[in-house]
Amino acid sequence: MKKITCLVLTFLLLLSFSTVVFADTISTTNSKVFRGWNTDWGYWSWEISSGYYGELVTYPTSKTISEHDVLAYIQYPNYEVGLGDYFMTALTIKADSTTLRTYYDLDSINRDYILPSPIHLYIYGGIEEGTGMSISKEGNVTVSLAFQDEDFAAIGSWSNTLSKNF
Amino acid sequence: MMQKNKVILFILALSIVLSLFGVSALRGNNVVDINDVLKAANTIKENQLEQDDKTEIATANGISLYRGEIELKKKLSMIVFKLDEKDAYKDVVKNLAINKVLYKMAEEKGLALTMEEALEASLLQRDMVQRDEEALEETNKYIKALGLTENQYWTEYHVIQAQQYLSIQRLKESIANEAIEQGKLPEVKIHTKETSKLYKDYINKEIKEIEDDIDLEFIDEQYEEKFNN
Repeated sequence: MKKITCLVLTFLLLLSFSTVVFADTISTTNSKVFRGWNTDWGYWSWEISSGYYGELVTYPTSKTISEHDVLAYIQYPNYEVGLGDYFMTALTIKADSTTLRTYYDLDSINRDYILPSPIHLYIYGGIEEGTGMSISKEGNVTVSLAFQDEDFAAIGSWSNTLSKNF
Repeated sequence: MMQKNKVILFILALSIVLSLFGVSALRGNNVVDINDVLKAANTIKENQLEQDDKTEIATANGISLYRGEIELKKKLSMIVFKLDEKDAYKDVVKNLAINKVLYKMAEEKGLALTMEEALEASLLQRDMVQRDEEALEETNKYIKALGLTENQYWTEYHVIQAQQYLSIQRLKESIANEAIEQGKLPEVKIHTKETSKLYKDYINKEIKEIEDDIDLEFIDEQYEEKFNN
């Protein structure tokens, strides 16, 4: 009788392991100084810290990111003056080297121009459809960002990238 | 013959529109070469005396535009934005006029930064640049090309630019705040793409109206010709 109970418990334990779902937050951050020039105002710089946060859900045989958030903080200038714009231009999800999907017209929110820091950029959850992949594959999420200020010409690139493997 | 004249007029009108768009589009959202920016800085250094030429060329709403500043900025625009002389004059006079008028408005509304505030802004900019290796190296090259010491740049030269630029930004902010009070813009705590665009469009419209209303009077006929041709 004990043997049977033990077997049943082992079976139930294995069953629970086979259906368990693990959720974890993956993240990556960076900071970039954007430089610009204007005939009247000379050489200026803006420092923006960006962070990507994804809710990684792992099933027994597959994985997906169920929610994506991007937050950006303007480190300087930090007073209530024109801060320029910071846009998300794309979010790409890859399995190994295969692109599963790229989102372009992202529903982002930004506090910019006339409001003080930080700039917040959000991508709402629910865009994971079709981006699930086998756990044996290496996933990658890349967020492309762009700075813009109408008053200045860019020196160097005004784009930024956040990339995270999962 | 009539048809031919119409075609010529159309081409003429189109080229005027395109040339105006070309000039105005060259300021922002443009990528420039750092080497050209350094050349421009060197030009500022080499034209110190010219900058001090206070011969009045024109007035914008009664505010003087001087030969020295127009000639220097024309050279800078030609170097950095690769404008030809004709477009550079138009670009410089137009921008100088609107910036001086906006700054004056900021001053009259009590929004202009004090020199202490501008110094603080300049030093914050210095602190930020010093945290980034690439920006620091580039800025130091720029300061060297201007022929200034780092201290002169951050505590004097950049302070004046910061004072004028940030005062105008404060004015733009006040334009939006007034519109909120008047119910012309919604009060927004966190902007969406749409509200952000709404605010920007409103501010740009107001600035454009101010620009269109500027009474630009040339004192020097030669410059008037350069501007209008």
